[in-house]
Amino acid sequence: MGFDSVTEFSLRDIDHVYIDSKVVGSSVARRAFNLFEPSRVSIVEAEPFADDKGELSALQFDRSKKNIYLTEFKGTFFKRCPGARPGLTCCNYFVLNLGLQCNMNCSYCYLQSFINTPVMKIYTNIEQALNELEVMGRDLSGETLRVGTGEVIDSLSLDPLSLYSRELIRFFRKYPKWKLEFKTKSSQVDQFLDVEHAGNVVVSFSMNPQNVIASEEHGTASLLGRLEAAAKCRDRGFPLAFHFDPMIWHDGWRESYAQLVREVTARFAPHEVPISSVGALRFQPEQRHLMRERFGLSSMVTSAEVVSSADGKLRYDQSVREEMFEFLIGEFRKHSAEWRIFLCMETPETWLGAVKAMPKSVVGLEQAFDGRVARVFGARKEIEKGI
Amino acid sequence: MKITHVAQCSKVLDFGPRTPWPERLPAFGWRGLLLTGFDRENGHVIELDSEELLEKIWPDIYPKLSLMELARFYRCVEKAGLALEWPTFFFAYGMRFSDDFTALLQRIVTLPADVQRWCVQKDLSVRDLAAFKALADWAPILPWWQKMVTFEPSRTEGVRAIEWMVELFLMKGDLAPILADVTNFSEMVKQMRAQRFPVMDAKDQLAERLVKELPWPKKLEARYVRNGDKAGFEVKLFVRNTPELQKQIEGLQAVESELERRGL
Repeated sequence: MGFDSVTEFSLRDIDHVYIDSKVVGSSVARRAFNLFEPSRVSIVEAEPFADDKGELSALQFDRSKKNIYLTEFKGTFFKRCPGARPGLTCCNYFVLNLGLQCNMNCSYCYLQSFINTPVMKIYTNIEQALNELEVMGRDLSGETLRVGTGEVIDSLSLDPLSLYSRELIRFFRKYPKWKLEFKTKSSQVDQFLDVEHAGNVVVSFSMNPQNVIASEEHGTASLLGRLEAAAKCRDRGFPLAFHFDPMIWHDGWRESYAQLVREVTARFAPHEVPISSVGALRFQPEQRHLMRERFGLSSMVTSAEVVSSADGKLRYDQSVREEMFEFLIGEFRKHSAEWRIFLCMETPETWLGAVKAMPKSVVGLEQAFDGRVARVFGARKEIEKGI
Repeated sequence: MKITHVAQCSKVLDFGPRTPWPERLPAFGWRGLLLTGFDRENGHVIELDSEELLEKIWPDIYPKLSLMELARFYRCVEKAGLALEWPTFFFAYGMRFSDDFTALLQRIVTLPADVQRWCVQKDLSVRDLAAFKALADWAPILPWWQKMVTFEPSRTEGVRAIEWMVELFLMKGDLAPILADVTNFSEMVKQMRAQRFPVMDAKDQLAERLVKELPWPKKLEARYVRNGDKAGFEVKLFVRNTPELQKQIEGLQAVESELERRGL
């Protein structure tokens, strides 16, 4: 299986940038004026497409991915991770949303289940988010904070416009006990590689075989693009995380995922990727209609054999999930027993089935999310110092 | 208040309501259009204030209408050339007026009468018909939808079945090989499930056969059960004392051995 050519969406694919008149002086707005020709930028007094209220149609949803609205976020930036719910076993971290909607177009994307804003937003008041973080830090001074930015917008795909990665990395350098995670399907990393960091910024890539990317993750970076971007981050000392999520069942899935593991292990050693997780396709049942309308039934995702699970999401049969997880973990272990792959957004039963243990008793899980990152970075520093 | 006669009113707004207007109530009219009691040939009509807006009057007269009835009313109004403030009108029924919604209204009024009747009876909502958004042409589904309504499924069963019809049509292009020979609803569902979920269906069938073949102890009931994404054997036993429980547990060891022998 080769690396098919896949076009990664970029700022060129954005139809128009609308700038809230109140934020024209913000750094993001100033960059937008520089990056986009004047015909593609407007200053507006009100949110564009504001008449499109309620559930979006397929056309409106597609349009929302092509139009950016720069505005302030009026609310609290910090939210708890959606995995922290009864019935789910998850890793417990904080989510920082610096925007809403994604310019890429994955068929399974969960944004299809709840986004009802007709335009993609980037919030310009990052200073407020950083202030909130400082306050939280005072309240939780003795604890390790883990913050992720890729919940409702890809952490990096629009970063060439916002450059928020740079501000966040600099901010987290002041708090070396805290961890920041960029989560992406893009290859947009060049804009922050020169920023000095404290080893507490994990650049996390969602990984899938190239045939799955080509079929389901439209507008994202190719597998090769992601691997090369990850290698650049590694070479600059950033800890990495790989999320093999969502695994998607298809004819020949074993070979596809075995190939993916070969591609990863050929380029990275286990200690260079202290966090890896695996999850399988899942989505809210209410989004299936929009998915069907937008992607038809020839997609591996829309035609998937998924049924209702305990938390209400549609998932593969539990035994299928276990088989997929066991297979992927097994392929990594063939290369090295040092690879630690954990399950994300999964039920305790599936942990037992695939990993043969409950998360709290899995050796390395706690360290994976805290200690291993620090240890790996520490070891790297020592190597750099020639120790 | 002005009183007129049914014969003086136009029935252009007869949207085929599910239940006839109660005999004891007077018919209402507005600007010479009959609003209620469309089945009446005679009788008086209370003519409502012509300055009032129809979009305000209508929900007062008919506070609850099914989607299909509303679609038929929408068509009647369009035919009559009346201009209503539709977003306001549909808001009163908890629905959002949009391009997609308009397209749906225009589509469902062309459905065959028996399908329309079923939609009204089961009070199908916009969400229930969401699967059709993926279809440019509903025609290939209609014969099978018509066949389905003859089996009189419940709303939940029927909605799931039409969603599978849409999906199977999109996947396979022709539903005849799947549905032409079915003679009842459970058979219809079984056939569609086998096509829509072939891997899971094959696995379930295998497990159902296996549960019958296993050497379960006497007086113990076992069956294969699927609950969403989880499936397994449900075992029911009845014991009165410890020796009986012990006996059943010993008996189950034969099942365990058989499963091991089969590599399961």
